[in-house]
Order: sequence, then C-alpha cells, then structure tokens
Amino acid sequence: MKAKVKIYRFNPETDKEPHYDTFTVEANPNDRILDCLNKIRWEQDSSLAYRMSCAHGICGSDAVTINGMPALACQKLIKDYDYTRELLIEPLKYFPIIKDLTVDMTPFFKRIEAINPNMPEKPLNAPMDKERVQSIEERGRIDDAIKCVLCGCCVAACPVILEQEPKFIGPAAILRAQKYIFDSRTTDKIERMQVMEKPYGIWGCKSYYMCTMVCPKNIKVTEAILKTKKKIIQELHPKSE
Amino acid sequence: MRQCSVFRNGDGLGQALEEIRQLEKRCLNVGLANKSKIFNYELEEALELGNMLKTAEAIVFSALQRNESRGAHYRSDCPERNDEEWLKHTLVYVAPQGLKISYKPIAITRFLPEKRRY
Repeated sequence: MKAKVKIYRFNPETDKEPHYDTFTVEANPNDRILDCLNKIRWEQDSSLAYRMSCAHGICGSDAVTINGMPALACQKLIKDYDYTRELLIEPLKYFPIIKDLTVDMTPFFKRIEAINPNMPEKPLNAPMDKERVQSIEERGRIDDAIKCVLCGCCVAACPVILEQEPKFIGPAAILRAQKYIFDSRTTDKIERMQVMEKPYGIWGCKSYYMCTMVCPKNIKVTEAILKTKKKIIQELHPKSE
Repeated sequence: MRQCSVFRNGDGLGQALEEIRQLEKRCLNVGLANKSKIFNYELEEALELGNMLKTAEAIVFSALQRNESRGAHYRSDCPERNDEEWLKHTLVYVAPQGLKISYKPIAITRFLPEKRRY
C-alpha cells in the first residue's frame, strides 16, 4: 500500500514561517510511523529532522504529534490510524520548535529537575554498605512510575499546560516525585511533598486524564497524581480532612 | 554479514574482512546533499557509517586471528577452546598501515575458566 504522510516543516536557517510537506511512501499497515519517517529521510528528503534512538519505545526520544495526539513514532503502527487518509505528523505541542519535528525539551527537563530527581544524600533507612531491601508490596507502590521514559508526551497533552497555566509543573515531574514520596527507601518524603505544594505544583492538576490516555508506557499517571495529593493531605494537612 | 555471526570459520571471516575493506574504500567517496548546520542527520549518518565500518573491520580482523572457539565466537574450523594460547583479551589499534593487534592477560578472580559442559 501507499501511505500519505503530511509533515510539519520548519528550517530556522531558511524559513520565516513553518509549512507542511506531503510525502507518499510505500508501506505495510504493520509498519511503524517511525519506519515511514525513516523511509522519507533515507529515500526522499534527507533534510527531514526528527529525533530517534532506540526505535523500540525505551529511549523516549521520538515523541511527535500524530493526527493531533502525542505518541512515540516507534510504537504506533500505520494500521493504528485511518490510513486511507493522510497521516498528519507534527512536533510535540507546547515545546519550542528547533527544526521540523525536533523540539527543545529544556522546559520538560527543567520540570523534572525542579523536584530533585535523585535519592537523598542523607543516609537511607539502612547502613550504606547493606542492600536496601524492598518487599514486593513496597516495590509495587513505585512500579508504575519507574516505567516512565521521559518522552514528554504527557506534558504535550496536558490541557492545564496547553490552555490554562503554562508554568504548571506537569504530569511527568509529579509522577517522578510520586516515586520518591512512596519509595520505602527515601527519608525526605515530607520535604518532597512540600516541594509539590509550591506555586504551579501538584494542585494545578485538574485530573483531565490526558496524560494517562497518551502515555506510551501505559502508566496510570493521573492515578499516581491523585494518590500523591491524598498523601499530602494526610501527612501535611491532617486537620483539613 | 552471514559470515560473522556466532557460527563462523576462517574462510568466511577472510571474505567478510575483504568485503568490509572494499566498503571502507567506497565510504571515502561519500557525498552529502544536505549542508544544514542544524539537526543534519545525513551528516551524522555519514560519519556513523565510517565509524561502523572501522569497528566491523576491527571485530572481524580480531575474530580471524583467534583460531579457537570461545563463547559466542564459534569457529567451525577450530571447534575446541584453547586456553593455552587464547586465554587473553584482544586489543586492536588503528595504525597508519592498517589495524594493529595486541593482547592483554585476563585478571581471573572468583570464577575460574573452565570448559562448558552443557
């Protein structure tokens, strides 16, 4: 079959305004969207810019907007869409565009850095030369958050960030904080919950569930945010319950 | 490519090495249509191609020298493991005349080398 792919183009070296180019590629319904992009770059237009690395949904670098929804190009197949029509591929929303489908991810990683994504320097609940053993149940509380590949799809889909408050810390950073707040090995949970309560923090989330819908790793992001909110109420504001 | 998978032999590796060296010669004539300075993947892939061919040459060249079988290196022309001569790391260097090879002894700690018996 032939797939028609309409792609957002912008080259800061030559273009004043972005435009769209349409390519036709020979493809199989089981091919990935990334295969189409590769075919276009290798066979038709070598100047097409998009990020990719592992091509197997692990590195999270090929997040793009496909028919309006953020997704990893390496995880979506042509048959996941109505391929009798043109496929529309655009860069992730919200992020500044560098060239074609590549965006500047700095605003994303700034958010992650804001919650201090490291284990505490203070001694953990065990001697440093011993393993910090977790029970299956303890590990289960953070299992979901650990699957995050930092692709940015959730931030690019968040209605709060897109339409209401662009400074909102966003789903990915809260999910990461949830991991530390519920991790049996961390000792700085209170401080972490206080960070979540800073302006533009966790209370900006209005539970639109878009992050959960688009997450390529099927993480229940909104659920993790709600769990964290509940824990903050219980631990920091017990009287308000 | 088929000559360099787990099951290999001297003749096949020799042929593969010759083929890789031909490709390396061709690679010197690689040209670019895209001269952009921003996110130029054509340039990146051209640079990668040269490096991958050099790495492929180093791997096949080292495998050709090692006339024994060990782990994922199974030589059908020398199927036995030979600790006497080959219990050592291979080191490959790029020299002006081509690849240069040397060896380094293995630091044996907890696990003693022994034949696989399964």
